[in-house]
Amino acid sequence: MKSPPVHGKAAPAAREPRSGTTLLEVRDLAMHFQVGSGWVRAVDGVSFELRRGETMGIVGESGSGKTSLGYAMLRLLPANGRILRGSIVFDGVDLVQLSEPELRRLRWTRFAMIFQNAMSALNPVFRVGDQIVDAVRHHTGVSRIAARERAADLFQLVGLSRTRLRGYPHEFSGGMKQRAMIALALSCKPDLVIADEPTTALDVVAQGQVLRQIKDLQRDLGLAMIFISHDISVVAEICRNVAVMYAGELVEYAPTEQLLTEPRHPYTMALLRSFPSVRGPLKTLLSVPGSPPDLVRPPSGCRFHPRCPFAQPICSEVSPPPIPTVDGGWARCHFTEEIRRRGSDAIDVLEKVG
Amino acid sequence: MSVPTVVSDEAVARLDDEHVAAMEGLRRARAVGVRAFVERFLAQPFAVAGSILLGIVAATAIFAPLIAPYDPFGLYPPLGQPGQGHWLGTDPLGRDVLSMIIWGGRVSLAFAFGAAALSLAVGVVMGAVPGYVGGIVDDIFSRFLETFLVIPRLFLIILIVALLGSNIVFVIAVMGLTMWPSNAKIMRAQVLSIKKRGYVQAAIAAGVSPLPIIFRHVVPNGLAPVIANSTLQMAYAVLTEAGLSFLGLGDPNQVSWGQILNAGQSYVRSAPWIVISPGLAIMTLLLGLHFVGDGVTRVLNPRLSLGRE
Amino acid sequence: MRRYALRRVLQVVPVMLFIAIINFWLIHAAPGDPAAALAGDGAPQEFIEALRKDYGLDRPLLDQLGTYLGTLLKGDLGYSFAYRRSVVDVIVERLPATLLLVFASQIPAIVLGTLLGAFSARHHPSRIDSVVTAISLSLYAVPIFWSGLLLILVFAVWLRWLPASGMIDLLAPTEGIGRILDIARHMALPVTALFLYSLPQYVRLTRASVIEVMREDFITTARAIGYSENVVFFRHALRNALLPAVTVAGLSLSFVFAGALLTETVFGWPGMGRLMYEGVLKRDYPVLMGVFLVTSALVLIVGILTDLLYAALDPRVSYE
Repeated sequence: MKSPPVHGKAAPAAREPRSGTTLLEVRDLAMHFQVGSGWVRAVDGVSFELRRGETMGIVGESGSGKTSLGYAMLRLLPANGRILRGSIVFDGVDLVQLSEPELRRLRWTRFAMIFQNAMSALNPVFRVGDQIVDAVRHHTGVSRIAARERAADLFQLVGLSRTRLRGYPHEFSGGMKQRAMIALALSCKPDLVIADEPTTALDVVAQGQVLRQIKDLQRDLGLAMIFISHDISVVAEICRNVAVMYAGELVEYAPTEQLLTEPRHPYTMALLRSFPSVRGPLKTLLSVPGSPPDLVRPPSGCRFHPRCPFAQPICSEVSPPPIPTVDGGWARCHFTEEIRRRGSDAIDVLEKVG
Repeated sequence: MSVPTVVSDEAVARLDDEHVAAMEGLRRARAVGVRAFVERFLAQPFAVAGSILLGIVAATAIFAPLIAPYDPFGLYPPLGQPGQGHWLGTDPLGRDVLSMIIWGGRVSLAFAFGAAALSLAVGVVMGAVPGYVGGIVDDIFSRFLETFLVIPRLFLIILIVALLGSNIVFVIAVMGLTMWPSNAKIMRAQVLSIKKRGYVQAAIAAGVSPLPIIFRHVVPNGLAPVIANSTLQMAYAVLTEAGLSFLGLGDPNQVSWGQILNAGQSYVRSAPWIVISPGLAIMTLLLGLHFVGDGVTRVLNPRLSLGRE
Repeated sequence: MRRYALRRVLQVVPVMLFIAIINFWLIHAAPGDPAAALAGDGAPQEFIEALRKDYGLDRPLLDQLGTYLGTLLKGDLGYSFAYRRSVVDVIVERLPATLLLVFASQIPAIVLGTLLGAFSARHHPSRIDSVVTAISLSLYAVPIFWSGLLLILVFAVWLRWLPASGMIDLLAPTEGIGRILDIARHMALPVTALFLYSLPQYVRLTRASVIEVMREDFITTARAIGYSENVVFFRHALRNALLPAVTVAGLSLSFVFAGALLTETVFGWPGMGRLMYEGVLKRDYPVLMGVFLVTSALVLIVGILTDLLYAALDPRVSYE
C-alpha cells in the first residue's frame, strides 16, 4: 500500500491518561434545523465514546455535519435547531436532559470549545484579557486581581505576551487570536475541549505553530479533546482515534494509524487521496466525484452509495450498521471486509473512477 | 483593472465558453429569481396589505374622471359640512373636498414614480460608472456624494422652488435630481464588490468593452438594494410634495393633498373635516409604499438562510 | 485622534463652499433681476440699486462670486428688508426656539426608540416584534404637518387643554417659573409631534442593529461560556449594537430639521423653521439663503461631532 499523505508520522499512542474512564458517551444523537419548509438533518444518529484525556478527531467535507455535531454536543443550537433524540452523557450526566441553568453551570468549567472563526468569535469591543477575566470570575467568583493573574498565566501557556492582555481583538493577528481563543477555552479548567477547525483560517506557518501548541497543551494538561476538521492530515497530528463523518452520520471510526494505512470505508479512502503531501511522491489529486448529499432528503440506505464506486443494489436499500474492524474500530459499509482483502485493487478502482 | 496583454486563442475561447456559461447561469438564476421573489413577497401579509393599499390609491387616481363627483376646481358653498352632496364637505374656497382628494392622488403618484424613477436612473449611472472606473474619478466623486448627502434636502428644495417656480414637471425633476445621491452611494458600494466577481473578470479578459460590462453584468446584479431604497424614495417624494404644497409652494394648477391641508389649517376650529381626510389619503399612500418597501427589502435580504453550514 | 478631528473639521470647508455656490447660482438662475431677488420683495428701488453696487452685480460673474464668498466669510449673510435687520440677527434670534424643540423631542425619542428597538429585537421573530415593526412603519407614514394639525384639533380645540400656537402667552408672566410653565404648555404639542415623527427611525435603527449583532459569532462564544441570556444580550450584544445606532442618530439631524420646519409652521412656533416659511411667504431670499446655509452648517457640525464620538467609543476605529 502506498504511504499515507500526512504532514509527518501519525500521532503516537498518547500516554495513558490517569484514569481510563469514560468521560463522554454520545448515543444516537440526532439534531436538525429548519430551513424554509424542510428540516436539515445535520446530525442523524451519531454514537461514540471518549475517555478522559483521550483525543479524537472528526473529519469530513464541509456540509457533512461535523461542525453541527460539535455545537450539538455542547447544546449550542441555532435558533431553529432541535435535538430530536439521543443522549450526551458527560461524566454520568445526560446533557440533553439538563435545564438551561444547570447546563450553564457546566459550560466552560467542564467542557469548552475553540471556535472556528477566531476572527469574529471574540467580542470586538472588549479587551481580550478582560474576556478571559470575565469568564473566570463568572464561574469561580475570584477577585479581579486573581483572575487577571490567571489570564496572564494562560497567555503564557499559549505563548502570548502578558502585555497583550490589554489589547483588543482587532489588534491581534490571526494566529494570535486563535491562541487567545485557546487560552479562553482553557480558562476554567475544562475536562473536555472541542476544537472546531481551529487552524483553517490560518496561514501555513501559523497553522503549524497553533497545532503544536494544542498538541502540547493537550498532553501536558491531560485534556480530552475532540478535534473537528476537514483536513485529515491536521487531525492525524493530534488525535489518537479518528471518526469520519458523512451526511450527518459517522461512517468509520478507527485508531488514526489504522485509518490512514488501511481505511475500511470507500469514503475514507477517497478522502485520503484528496490531500497532497508536501513530502511524499507527486500524486494525482482525487476529489471525491459527485456533489455533497442533500441533508433534507438524504439518499436511502447507505448515504454514500450514489458516489461510491463499489456500490451494489443492497447499498441503496439497507443502511449498513457499524461493522467492527480492528482495535475497536468499525466501518459502516456492507463490503468493508472485501475492500480490505482486495487492498491495492480497490485503490486502483478508485483512481480510475476519479 | 488590468487586462492580460497576451491572451492565447484557446484561452480566449475557453474564457468565452466560461463567460457564456456564466451568463446562462445568471440568466436562469434571474428568471427563477423573479418568480421566487414574487412568491416570497406575497408570503408576507404586510407586503400584501401594502400592495392592496397602493392598488386602491392608484385605481382611484387613474379613474378619477369617472369617480369624482365634481370638478375639483369647481366652486360651491364654502366650508360646507360633510353631508349629502359633498361627502367630505367643502374647503374655504368652496371646492369639493372628496373630488380634490380623488384627483389629488394623481399628483402624489406622479411625484412618487417620476422623482423616484429619475433618481434611480441618475443614481445608478452616477454610482456604477465611478465605482467601476475607480481611481481618482471615484475619489473625487465620492467626495461630491458625501457633500451632497449632508445638505438638508427639504430646505434646498424649498429654496429652489421659491426662486425658480413651482411648475409640477420642474419640481418633480428637482426632486429626482436631489434624491439620486443616496441611490448612487448604494450602487457604488455594490459595484465595488461585484466588479471582483468571476463572471466580470471573465468578461474583461475576453475583451468586452467597459460600458456593456457595467450595464449588462455589473448593474443588474447590484440593483436589489437600490430598488429597496427606491420604494423609500417614493414615499419621501410623496411626503415632500405634500409638505411643499402645505407650505404654499405647490403648483397652483394642480390639485394636491397638501394643498387641501394648507387651505384648511386656518379653519381647524370651524371646519375640522377639511384637515382630516387629506391626511388620511397621504397616510394611506405612504403606508402602502412603506409596507411594500419593507416587504421588498426582506425578500432581497440575502440573510435568509438560518443553518450553520 | 487630534489629527482625525482636524481632518473632519476641515471637511466643513468644501461643503460650505458648495452650498454658497448653490446659493449664488440660484439667485442668478432665477428669472428677473438678481439684485431685486437679493433685496427681497417690496424693497424700494434705491435699496436695490445700493445692493447692486455693494454686491457688484454689474461685474462679471466670477468677480461676483468672489465678492459673495468674501461677504460670507465675514459672517455677513445679507440684510433682510422685510425684517429690517441683518439676516444673521434674525436667525440668531430664532435659533434657540428651534433648538429647544429639537432637544425636547429628540432626547425622549432616542431613549424610548432605542429601548423599544432593543426590546423588539430581543423577541425577534415573534408577534410582539411584528407589532412593533408595524407600528413604527405606520408612524413613518404619518405626515408631521398632519399629526400636528390633529394634535391641535384634539388637545387645543376639543379638549382645550393646551394652546394651539405660539410660544408664549402675551398675558403670562415674563419671568421665573411662570414663564417656564407658559413655554412648556406651548411646547407640549409641537414637541409631541416632532417626537412621534422621529421615534420610528430610532426604533428601526436599533432593532436592525441588535438583530444583526445577535447573529455574530461572539454571541455564540458568550453563550458557550455559560453566560445567561440576559448577560449575553445586555452586556455583549447591546454594547456592539448601540454604536452604529449612535452614528446614524447624529446624522439624522437634517431629517429632524425638516420636521421642525413643518412643525413650527403648523404651531406658529417662532423658530428657524418658521422663519423659512415666512421667508417663502414674503419672498425674502436673503433669509431663505441664510437659513439654508446655517441649517447645513449645523447638520455638518453635529455630523462631525457624532463621528468623533463614535471614533472615541469604538476601539476598532483607527485614526488614519
